Amino acid sequence: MASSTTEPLLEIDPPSWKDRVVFLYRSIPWWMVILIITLTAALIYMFGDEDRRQTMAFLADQPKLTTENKFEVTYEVLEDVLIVQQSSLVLDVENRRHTVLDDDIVESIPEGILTCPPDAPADCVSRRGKLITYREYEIASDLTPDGILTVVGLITDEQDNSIEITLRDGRQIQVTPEQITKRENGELACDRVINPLCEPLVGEIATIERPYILEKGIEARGDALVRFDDGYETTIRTQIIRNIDDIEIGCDEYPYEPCEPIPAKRATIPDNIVGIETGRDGDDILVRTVEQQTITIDANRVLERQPTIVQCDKEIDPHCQNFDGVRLELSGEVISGRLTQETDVHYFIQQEGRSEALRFVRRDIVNEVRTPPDCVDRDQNPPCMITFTLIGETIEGRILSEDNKQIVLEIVPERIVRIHEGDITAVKRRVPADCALNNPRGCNEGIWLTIIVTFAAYSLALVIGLIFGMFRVSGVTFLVNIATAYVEFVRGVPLAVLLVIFAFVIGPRLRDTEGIIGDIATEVYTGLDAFERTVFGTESLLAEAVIGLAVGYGAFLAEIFRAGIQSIHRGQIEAARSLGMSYLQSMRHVILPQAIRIILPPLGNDFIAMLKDTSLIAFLALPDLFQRGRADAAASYQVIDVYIGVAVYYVLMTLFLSLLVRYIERRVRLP
Amino acid sequence: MAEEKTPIIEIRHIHKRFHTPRGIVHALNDVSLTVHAGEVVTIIGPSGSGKSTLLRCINRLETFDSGSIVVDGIPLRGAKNINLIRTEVGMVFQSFNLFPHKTVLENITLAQRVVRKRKKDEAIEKARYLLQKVGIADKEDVYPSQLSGGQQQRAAIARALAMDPKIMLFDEPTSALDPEMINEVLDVMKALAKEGMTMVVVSHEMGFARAASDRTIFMDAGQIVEENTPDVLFDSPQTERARIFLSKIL
Ligand SMILES: Nc1ncnc2c1ncn2[C@@H]1O[C@H](COP(=O)(O)OP(=O)(O)O)[C@@H](O)[C@H]1O
Ligand SMILES: [Mg+2]
Repeated sequence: MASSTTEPLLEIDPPSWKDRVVFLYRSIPWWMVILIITLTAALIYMFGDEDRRQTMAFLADQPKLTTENKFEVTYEVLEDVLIVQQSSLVLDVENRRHTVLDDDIVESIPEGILTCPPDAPADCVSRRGKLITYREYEIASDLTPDGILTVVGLITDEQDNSIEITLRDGRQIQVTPEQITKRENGELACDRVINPLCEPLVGEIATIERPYILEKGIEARGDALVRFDDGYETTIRTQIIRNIDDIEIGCDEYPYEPCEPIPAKRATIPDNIVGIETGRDGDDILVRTVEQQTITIDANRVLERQPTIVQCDKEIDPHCQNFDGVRLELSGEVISGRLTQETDVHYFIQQEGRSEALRFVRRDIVNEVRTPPDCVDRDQNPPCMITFTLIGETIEGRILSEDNKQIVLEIVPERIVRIHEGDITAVKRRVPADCALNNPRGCNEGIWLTIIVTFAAYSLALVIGLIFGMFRVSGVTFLVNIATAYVEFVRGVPLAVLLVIFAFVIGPRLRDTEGIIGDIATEVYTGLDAFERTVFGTESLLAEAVIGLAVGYGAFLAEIFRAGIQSIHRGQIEAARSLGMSYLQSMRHVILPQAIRIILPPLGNDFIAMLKDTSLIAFLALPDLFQRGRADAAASYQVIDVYIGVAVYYVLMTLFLSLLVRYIERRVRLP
Repeated sequence: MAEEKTPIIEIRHIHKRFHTPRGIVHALNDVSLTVHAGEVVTIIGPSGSGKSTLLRCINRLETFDSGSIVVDGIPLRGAKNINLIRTEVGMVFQSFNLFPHKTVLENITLAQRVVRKRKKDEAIEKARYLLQKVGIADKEDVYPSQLSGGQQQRAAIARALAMDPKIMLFDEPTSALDPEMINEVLDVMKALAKEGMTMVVVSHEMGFARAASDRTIFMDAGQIVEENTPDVLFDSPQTERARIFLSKIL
């Protein structure tokens, strides 16, 4: 029989089909097949037809087919706007706020000090900052004014003792008849910076003297009223303006008319558009937004009113609150005026006595009549006059004030904003919404926390386990007993209890201790808190959770390390020591490398167990995957979806860790 | 060996007891032995007679209860740096004890780098030279598990030699080997003996003892029973216990 070794090795029969089948059968990772079948079964069981379809669509990466894209996204775009009016909010020494228009600013010192007058009240504080000297018109009659400014305006209303005058910039002021020095019929040039298409106001023009005193204040913030290309106006902080260009406007609209270009200012501002993407059109992104707006409605138009709960759009702003309001049925309003511009979407109408053209959406217009018939916006002589009725509408909102003439309503209208992709400078905020299987991005935060905590705590546990495991085999009685006591004590305390102890007992106690220990503990915890603030933006019990988990798992890992070290044959350390290596050198170069190869499977096992046990940090109110899931389940009552979703995520994460551990095992395996 | 004799290992009346659950084992009972520089001493004796314990005491892998051992002028008891003495005393084990997670080359360079603090190149050069010497130069990049027993033991000898020891201790270096591999190891040992290395060898290989050793010691029950030249001890043992033992193994 000894001849068998002498036979030529190369003459091996080719494998039979049976051998091949057996080989194939053995080479399939059956555990994975079983796992996949189980997960699939769970998913199928979990979802009805519709959910399954959406999940499949999600897996196929068409998020629009999932329940809905549950994100609020803030697109930061740079936009050119026209500055209509600049103003500053200034504070005086008594902390009173005054809004000062740029025109009224006499002097502005970038670094100035506003000191309290000698007879100042107790709450007076001297302020430092941009010192602004401005004209204040509303002065008590017994004060002598510092000066008098002459302005002209159109008389728009006249009562016995009070005359309303509309200034060039659209502001309306009330004056007494005595203040008016001259009244005559004429034209008041309108401000083309405000409205490039405006026509001069015709009527009774008054010249008035406005007495003023000079006041000083420190600028708290600067505001600018700006006008977007589509006519939308809003107030912004001047601080956000990136760039201001001086431009000239006004002449290209009517090139045949003698005109003088009007100097104006154009600002580039970052505009935040908050909404969700609803579609794309070439390079443009269509974003659905909602924005609180105040509108004034003619009280006569209200046909019917009903109390209602105004639904806010949780998709766009997950934190918004529904509010009590009214639903108003409105009749159509009749509008007439001069058509100054018409576009595919809008009409701009200049009404008698108003400096500003009004914008109407053509879609909302019925019964339109033009005089002369079929005139167009370019017509000058006669101008194109138009009358139409706005279609009736239903408005929901909160009533801010109301009298028998008009109702001021706060509404949350929806609009679609078109953003050119190239204009987007940043996509800033994603507020993930509910954590569930049809919206895994909503779970990201929790998943991240789970992963971070697992890796941090496990690394620390490895260090603790290694140290105490080595203590246990060191043969030094003191160390052996310390390590044994640690292992036996910590192994006996439930992890949840341990976490709570570390967070609420040991941490605070250590910090309160007098002397060096307390100082060190305070230093350490302060450092950890600072770290958390920089990384996560808030302080939390994260560090405590990591330490608690690490100490708890350290006990198990210490036992694993001990077993691993003891499993290495004595001859190894003897050989190492006989070569002159010290105990620690032998450990480091000879024993531990071998021990770790042996204990990798149990280490990996505890790694995975730790990942699951991070769910216990929910006790410390840390929003890990499980805690988020609980919150969402409580809020939505979607218990099945949420918890099975959470379970599936845990399985996927542990599966990943399993593969990682396997990979490492394979990498370090010895021939 | 008529040159002047410098004692390099001096063992004086050492006792070693092991406390085991079954009672106290008197593993070494008043053992005294002097080994001179360049001398090759073989130790034979029945299993459990204390041969390994004696060897292990010499490089203090084992402590002893009383008596004294002086190695190269340094008394072991109370020696400040035991690792320094160990580097002077190489040891080869019955079960080789190569480091399985390191290649043959790494096995030989590890202690050189960690203990002797040699540069990497220097350590590798030394290792290659020794591998050449023990005849496995072509195996430097394989792991111990890929070597035959005889090759492993030769690698282990090279590993011990890499520390430039003054003394080499061999504890039954061939008894775990298949018969056809015994000689390749013994040849290396013989060559070493010829170079003048001080060696203490626990081995029952009579051929080696006769050819290479100056003295053979017979131990039994923790005591040195007989000490003689190998030829005398093997051919005409003076004590009854040695005669009975030899009749069993021959
Ligand atoms: N670490 C130990 N613990 C307890 N008894 C031991 C130990 N090492 C050796 N002995 C005992 O000491 C005696 C001598 O052992 P040893 O020196 O290994 O003998 P040999 O190498 O001659 O076979 C034996 O009885 C053995 O059982
Ligand atoms: Mg032995």
